[in-house]
Amino acid sequence: MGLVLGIETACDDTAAAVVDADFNVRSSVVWGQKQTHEAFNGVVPELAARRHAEVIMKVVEQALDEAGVGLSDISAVACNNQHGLIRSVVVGVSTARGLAVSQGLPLIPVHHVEAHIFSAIMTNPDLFNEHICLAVAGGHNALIHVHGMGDYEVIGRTLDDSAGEAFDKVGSYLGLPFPAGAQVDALARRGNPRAYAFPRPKLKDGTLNFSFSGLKTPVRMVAEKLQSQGGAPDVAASFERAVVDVLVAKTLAAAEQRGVTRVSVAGGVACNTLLREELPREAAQRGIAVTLTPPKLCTDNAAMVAGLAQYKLREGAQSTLDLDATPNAPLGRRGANYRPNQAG
Amino acid sequence: MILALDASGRFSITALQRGDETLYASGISGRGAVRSVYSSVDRVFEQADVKPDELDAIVLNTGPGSWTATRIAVTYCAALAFGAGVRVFGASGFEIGRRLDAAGVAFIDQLGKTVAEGDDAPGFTVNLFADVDAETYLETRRAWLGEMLKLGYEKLSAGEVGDPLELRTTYFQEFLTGAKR
Repeated sequence: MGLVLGIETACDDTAAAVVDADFNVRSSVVWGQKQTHEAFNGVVPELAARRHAEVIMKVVEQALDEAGVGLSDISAVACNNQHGLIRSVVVGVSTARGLAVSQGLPLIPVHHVEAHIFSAIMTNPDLFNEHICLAVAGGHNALIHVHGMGDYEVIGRTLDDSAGEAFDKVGSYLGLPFPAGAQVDALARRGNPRAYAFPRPKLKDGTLNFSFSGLKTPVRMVAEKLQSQGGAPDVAASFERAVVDVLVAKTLAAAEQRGVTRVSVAGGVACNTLLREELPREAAQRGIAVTLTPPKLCTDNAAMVAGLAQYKLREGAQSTLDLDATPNAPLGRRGANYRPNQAG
Repeated sequence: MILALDASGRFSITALQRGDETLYASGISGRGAVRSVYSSVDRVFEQADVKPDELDAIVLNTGPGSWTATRIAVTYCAALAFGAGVRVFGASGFEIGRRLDAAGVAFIDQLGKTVAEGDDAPGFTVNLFADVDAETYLETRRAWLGEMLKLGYEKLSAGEVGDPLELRTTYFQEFLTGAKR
């Protein structure tokens, strides 16, 4: 199998990428919509879909150009058709199908969250084996026991907001533009993480579930009071510390409960500086190996889609033109009861 | 050979002109906008036994009408044209309507609102979401598809570029000043 062109439009990033059979990323183009949604402090689905439709072909063309290939050099087209905002997802599906039909190429549909799981596997083949994946972003927040490729068991999930949503909301309390995750991270580097004792929701409840909705209110109350006094870095650092404490503790508890010695972290929040420092440090003390997805593959991208499609083709996946956009599809065999959208 | 696609209403409908022969197809109903657009294009290709790169151009109604179906049609046609190396021409429903009647066209949308370009009385009205089956819908819109094919030939003859990267959707809101409730 040669090159796969991947397309990803789950939320507010329009992405296309070319990945080769050894999972080398030959190009990865991501066109963000920050300016479109900034004024609304969140993603507006209809506006996101409109922007996707306006730029998707330019993004595809750029991905092919940067890889130094034409569509005739592509062996298969892949797209996420199983998770995200429905109006956005259909743009990627339609583009992928149109390209595949135009050249008679195989079309491989993939699940967005599985692609995030695979973004870590692409960089560490050990993860083809059993491991725990913390998939944490704005649209999903779950602990997944990866028994093997295609065999996923969701053992923990958020009961309300994802960590990524909490970062964005706290960013808005601190006057930062949407999306605020990276800026809260940067602000936290200048603050004192012990300045405020924010709650660690569900830290000791004995489950592997998360809940970040209740954390936002105390942060907002402190932020409103102190922002004018220049206390934003301390608020950001204390909030970040609370979130990371929970993510680290639950992830390691999951590994220990399941007797698994490998852990990966994927999704946009996997870019967070403190999480990338704390999880490997704590895990090492317990003999658990951690794979951190490279930052370029953490946020939504199409390289993970193309990479996962490469794997599926290698394993004999069949092309299908009979596909629909099913944005709330269950994840994997044992994850049949898990629908990421319902879990926040 | 030109393909015309209109997904602005209840069903996606296509026409393919090859010489003097014109073939028509409608999308499979009741399975969602995504499959309706794909199936209407697939079916007319199958009937004609042609592949996308045998086309000279694609003509598309860019709306207004069903947002999602039209957006699917726009992105699908842009990708088809890009991959097959053929030209793609977009025309708004109002532009197509003016070709059929100089007084222009008004559309009845999903909510039953009538939307026109201006305040003058339109020459005719199209109920995009009339409660009819796919075959009846296609029958009532054959002349419309025929006009789209003519438009495609004119744009080809005029040497218009038909760049798939520039294809855009036309939304109802762009005409709200002329809306009649």
